[in-house]
Amino acid sequence: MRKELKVSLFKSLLLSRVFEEKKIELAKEIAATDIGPTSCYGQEAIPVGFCFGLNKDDYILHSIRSAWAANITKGLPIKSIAAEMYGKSSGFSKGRELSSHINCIELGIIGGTGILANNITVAAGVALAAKCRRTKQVAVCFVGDGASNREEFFTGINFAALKKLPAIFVVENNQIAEFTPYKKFMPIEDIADRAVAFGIPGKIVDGNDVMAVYEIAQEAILRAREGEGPTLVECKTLRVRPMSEMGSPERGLPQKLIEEWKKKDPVIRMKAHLLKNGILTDKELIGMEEKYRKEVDDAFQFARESDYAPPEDVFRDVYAERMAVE
Amino acid sequence: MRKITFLAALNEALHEEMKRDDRIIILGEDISPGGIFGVTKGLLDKFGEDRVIDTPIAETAIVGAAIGASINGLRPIAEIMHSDFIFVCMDGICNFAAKQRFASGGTIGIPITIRTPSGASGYGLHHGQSLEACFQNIPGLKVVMPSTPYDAKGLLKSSIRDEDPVIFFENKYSYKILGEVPEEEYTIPLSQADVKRRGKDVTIVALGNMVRQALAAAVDLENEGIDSEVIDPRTILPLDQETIINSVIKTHRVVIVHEAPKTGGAGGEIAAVIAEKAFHELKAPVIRVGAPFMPVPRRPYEEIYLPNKENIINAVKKLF
Repeated sequence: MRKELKVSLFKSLLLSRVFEEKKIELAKEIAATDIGPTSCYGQEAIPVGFCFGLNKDDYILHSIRSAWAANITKGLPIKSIAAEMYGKSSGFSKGRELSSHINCIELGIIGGTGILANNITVAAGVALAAKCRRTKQVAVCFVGDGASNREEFFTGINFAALKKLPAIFVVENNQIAEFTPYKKFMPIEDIADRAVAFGIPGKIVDGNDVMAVYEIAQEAILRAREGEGPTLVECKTLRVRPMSEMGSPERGLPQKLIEEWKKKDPVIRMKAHLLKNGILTDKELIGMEEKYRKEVDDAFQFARESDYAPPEDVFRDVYAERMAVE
Repeated sequence: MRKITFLAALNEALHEEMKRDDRIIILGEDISPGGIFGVTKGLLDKFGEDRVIDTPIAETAIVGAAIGASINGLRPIAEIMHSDFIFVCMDGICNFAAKQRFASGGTIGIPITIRTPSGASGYGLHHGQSLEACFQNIPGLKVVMPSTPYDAKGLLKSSIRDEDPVIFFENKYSYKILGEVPEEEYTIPLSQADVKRRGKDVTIVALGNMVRQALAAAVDLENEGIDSEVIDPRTILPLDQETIINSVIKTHRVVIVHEAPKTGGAGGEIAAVIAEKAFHELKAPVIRVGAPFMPVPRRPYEEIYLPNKENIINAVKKLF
C-alpha cells in the first residue's frame, strides 16, 4: 500500500477517534437531546476502511454503532453531525433524527430507522437502481452481529445475491448486542458462514486493522462494480465501551476480554505502523491530533451555538406537499 | 365510450406510465407472467427484465428494495400479492417509507407505490382482508382504494406520480367489473372524493366494493321515497373531508359502509370527523356498516359475512 494512502487512511481513522473521544467526554450534555450516545471507540477501522475512497455517488447505509465514523469518512462535515446530536436545524437533516440515523442524500448517506438491519433490503434496492440505471455505484451496508439475525439480513442479501446487485454487506461483529453476548443469541461462531446460504463470498477480516479492512473492502467494491454481485464481509472486533455512554460498563463484555482487545486498538496499531516504517514522525502525529481536536471542539461549539428549528418547521415534511390532513 | 374491466384499466395505467417514465420499475412475486390476477400482463415483453422484476417470496425484500431503488433515482411499484401479506412488511412501509422524508429534513422522499389485491376472494382468512384501517394512523402514508375502472386507472397513475408512499388497494371482486374508460390520457387527483350519486335525504359514504352495494341500495331506497347521495372517498388517507361534510350539511343523515369489519374500521375515523365538524347538522347518529368482527370466512360462508345492499338499506332506515 502506498505511503500516501496509509496516511490518508490514518487521517480518517484519527479524526473518527478524536470525534468519538469528544462524544464520550460530552456524553451527558449530548444525552439531553441525542439519548444515550453510542460510541464506536475501538471499532473505527471498519467504517473507515469501507467508506474511504468511495465516490460521492456511492451509497452508505451505516449502522447505529459506527454511524459517525462512517459519515465522517464519507465526507459529512463534523459540524453537521454535531448539530444533529443537539437537534439543531443546522444539520443536514435539520436535526430531525438522532445522530445515529443521519441522512445526507448529497453524499449518498442513508440513515436507518430504529429497526436494525432494515438497511439491508434498502441497500439491495439502492444497488438494484444502480444496476437498472447502469451506473457504477455501489451500496455499502453495515450491520452488527445482533442485527445479522433479523429477517432482512436473509431476505435482503438473498435478493441482492440472486440479482447480482452491486452491494457490500459489512457485519461489524463486536461480539455483543446491547447487553447480550453473541453466544446467547447466535448458534454459530462466524457470521461469514451464512454467505454460503446465498451463494456469495463470505470473508472474515481483522476489524481492528484498518489496512486489512481497506484492502478487503476494495476487493468487494471492485467485485460489485464489475457486476459480479455482493460480498458478505465479517469484521471481527470487540465493543470495548458500554452499550451507550450513559450506560453502565457492567452490562458490557467482561473487563478481561476488553483489556485484551484494547491492546489491538486500531489507532494504536496504525500509529505504530506509521512510526515504525518512517512514514510519519511523532511530531507530525501530535500535530495532526491537535488539529483534529480543535476541529472537533469547533464543531461542537458550532452545534451549541446553532438554533433549534423554529416551531413552524417542526411539523413539516410529513408529505411532499404541505397539506392539512386534519 | 368504450367499456373495459377494472383489471384492464389497471393494466393500461401500468403500460402507459412505464412507457411515459423509464424510471418506473415494477417488482413482486410472479409478476412477469402477468401476476396471479393478470394485472401486470404484457409488461415484461414491453419493458424487459430490468424493469419488470420477479422477486423471491419475501415481502420485506420487495418493500425494502422498492424503498432503496426510489432513493437512488427510480420510481418503483411494488406488488404485495394479497393485502394480507402486507403485515410481513409493515416495518419497511410504516417505519421507513412513511418517515424518511420527515427524518431527513425533507431531503429524501420515498415515491413508491405499493399495489395490493385486497378484500374478499373466496379463499378466506389470509386472502381476503381489507386493511386500509391499518395505515390510517401512520403519518407520511397515502391510502387509495378505487371502486370503478375509471377511478382505478386515473388513481393508479396519480399514485405512481405521487412523491410520497402510496398504498393502492385493488379490490379483487372489482377486477371483472366493466366501466367506461376514455381512450385519452387522464389522471385523477389523490385526496379528492367523488359523488357517485347525488341525493338529498341521506349521505352514504362507501369504500371500494361497497360503492356498488351503496348504489344498488340507493335504487331500492328511491322506490321507498328516500333519495341517497353516495360519496366515494377514493383516497382514504389523506381524506377529502370537505366533500363529505358538504354532503352531510345537505342531507343531515349519514351511513358509512366498508367491507372491512365495522369495529376499528376506517368508518370510525370518518364518523369522528363528521361528529366533530358537522355535529349540529346531524338529525340522527352516524351509523357504520361493516363486516362482523371475525376473520374473513371462506366460500361459501363469505356470502353471509360481506356487507351488502340489504345491510345498507336497513341502516339508512334507522336514521328516519
